[in-house]
Amino acid sequence: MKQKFDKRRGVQSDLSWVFSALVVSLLLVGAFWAMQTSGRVDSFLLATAVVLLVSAGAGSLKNVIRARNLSGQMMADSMTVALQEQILSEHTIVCVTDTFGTITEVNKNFSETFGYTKDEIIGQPASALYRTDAAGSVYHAALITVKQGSLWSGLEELSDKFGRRITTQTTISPKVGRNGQVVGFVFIRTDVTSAIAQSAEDSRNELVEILRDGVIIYDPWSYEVSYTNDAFIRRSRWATDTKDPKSLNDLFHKHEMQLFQRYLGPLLNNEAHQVMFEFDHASGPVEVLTHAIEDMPGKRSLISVVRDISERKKAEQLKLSSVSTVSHELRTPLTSIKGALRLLDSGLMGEMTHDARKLVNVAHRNSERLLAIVNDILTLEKLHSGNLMISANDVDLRTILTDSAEANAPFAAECNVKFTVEDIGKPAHVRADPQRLMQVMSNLLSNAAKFSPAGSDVKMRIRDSGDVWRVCVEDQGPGIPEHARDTLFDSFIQIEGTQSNAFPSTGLGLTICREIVHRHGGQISFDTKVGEGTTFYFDLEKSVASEMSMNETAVA
Amino acid sequence: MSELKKIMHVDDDEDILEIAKMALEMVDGFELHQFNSGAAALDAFETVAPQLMLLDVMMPGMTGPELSRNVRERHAALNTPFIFMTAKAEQSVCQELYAAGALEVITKPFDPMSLGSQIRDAWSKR
Repeated sequence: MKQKFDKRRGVQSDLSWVFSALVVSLLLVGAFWAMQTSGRVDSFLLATAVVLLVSAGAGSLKNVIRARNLSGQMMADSMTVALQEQILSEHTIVCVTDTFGTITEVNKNFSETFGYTKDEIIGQPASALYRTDAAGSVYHAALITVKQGSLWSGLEELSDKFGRRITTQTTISPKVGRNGQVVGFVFIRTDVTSAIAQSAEDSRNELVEILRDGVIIYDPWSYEVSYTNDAFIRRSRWATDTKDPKSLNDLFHKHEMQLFQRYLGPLLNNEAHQVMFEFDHASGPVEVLTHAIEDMPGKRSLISVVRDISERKKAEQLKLSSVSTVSHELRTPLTSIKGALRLLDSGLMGEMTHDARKLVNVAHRNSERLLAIVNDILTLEKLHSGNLMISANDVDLRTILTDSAEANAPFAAECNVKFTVEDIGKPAHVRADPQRLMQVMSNLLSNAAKFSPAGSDVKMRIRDSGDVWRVCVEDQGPGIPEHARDTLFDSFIQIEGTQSNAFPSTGLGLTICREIVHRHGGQISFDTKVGEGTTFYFDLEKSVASEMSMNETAVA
Repeated sequence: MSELKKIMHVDDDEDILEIAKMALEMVDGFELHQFNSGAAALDAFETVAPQLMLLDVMMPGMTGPELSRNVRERHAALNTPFIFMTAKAEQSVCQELYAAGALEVITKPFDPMSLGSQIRDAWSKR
């Protein structure tokens, strides 16, 4: 009887301690959640906290219940506590450890949340649940606090059995033995992973809502839409007239969806961090920039930012048409200048003195040069704006080489050099615009001829280089000095001291070559040795026809 | 096939009119009737009665293609052929002009020494 009484008194004194801690802790927990949930104090969590603190003060719930049963009194109260235990167990994740932090007991919620069976986790250190070393050291610091008889509450970053991130709101309380000593720890956790994600998503969405660009988040495989911002919905003329799109298919037409499928591949294969493509939407041209994001732990989504680029397109068009206009405005006076000089030179207006003829020639040559610059600028502008039509024909590079050697032979003769073509002995097919490739070759050949010593050969050859054919133009000129190499392909770059009045250039030739080769998906570069010569080369992807004819050759 | 003699040349640029006059009269012996606007050319068309028209494309007021359309509407029976001269040498522009019924499209700058033979070649394939 005495023993029973003592026990009861023990419990009561425990409870009085609990009540003072309860008030303080309730305030703390409540304030914390008020912050976390932007003003929504979760009543369930408060209830949990109440129960938790009762148990904490008593050492553990079971101790409380056992003590009350022993007393044989206050049955109604113990019913309440039993009910509280049930609530606790149903809604929270409970884990009990010994003083070394070795797990001795877990509830069903624990197993469900972390994926471990009781057998797997009991006997394991609780520290194993922590996601990072930093999270682990918070845990160790918390235990020191709890050992001294206080409660610890806070957010924890944990990992489940499969490495998924789990964020919990955790309270650690000491487990007090019969003699009042701390015999272990009780971890009461609430899984707030999705609440945290939600809160992060809420603030992200707030930001995204005020953007002028349309933002849409969707599943990469099913195209199920999980989010669209205001700007996206405001943009009119989607495939269906919906304010609440469920799938990308509700928004984009079939041919537009094909664009998505084609461009998103590299993102899904982790080959690219972001992809961008443009297309002409019914409401105007748009640019779509897409990133992969981890929306929820372990769940990948795609976020596409759809930007209206009609203004930019208009500006580009305006620029193009103004360049074209300037070019036209320059050609008209050039027509008169060149025409007048040509008539003077013809002798129809009477014979000129030798010196007068020389001056007319200077003027005529420079008017030719001016015209070449105007033409090159126009070509370049069209290449930059993408308005230069590049046809895709099946082209045998051997034909391009022999044709360009022939077409530029008069210039070679002027420079007193010879263009030679080395035979590769097999077809070298690419998908290309033959006219544009001829333009590249003409530029490379005229450069090579200009810089070659009289009487030398400029050699052209094709190299089989894996997936690509490499076209080389080799001269025996002075080579390109080191300081000029980096900027050689930039506009209006000419190597100092190489300007010749006999063979003037526009300084745009190599820029045009680079643009054309890039438009064909190829690369252009050069090898050079001062005093020995330079080889310019460009690589173009082999076409299927070329593969086929190679196989045919192999079979034959 | 009659020999080409009388040409109506329309361009708003006086210098180009001058160069063309020297080239086509002195070098090639054509009879050139020049106008610096489409409207003036249209008014004089009946009086001049040219065998061929040589028209600049970009002109203020009435463009070359507009002038050719007007002439064809008013003097359909004559079926006077026309050649355009343009400083816009883009392929697409040339294609449009041929589609509008041009006998030939000559790009500027043109070579005054060979302009006459270019016109004769076009006249012969009419």
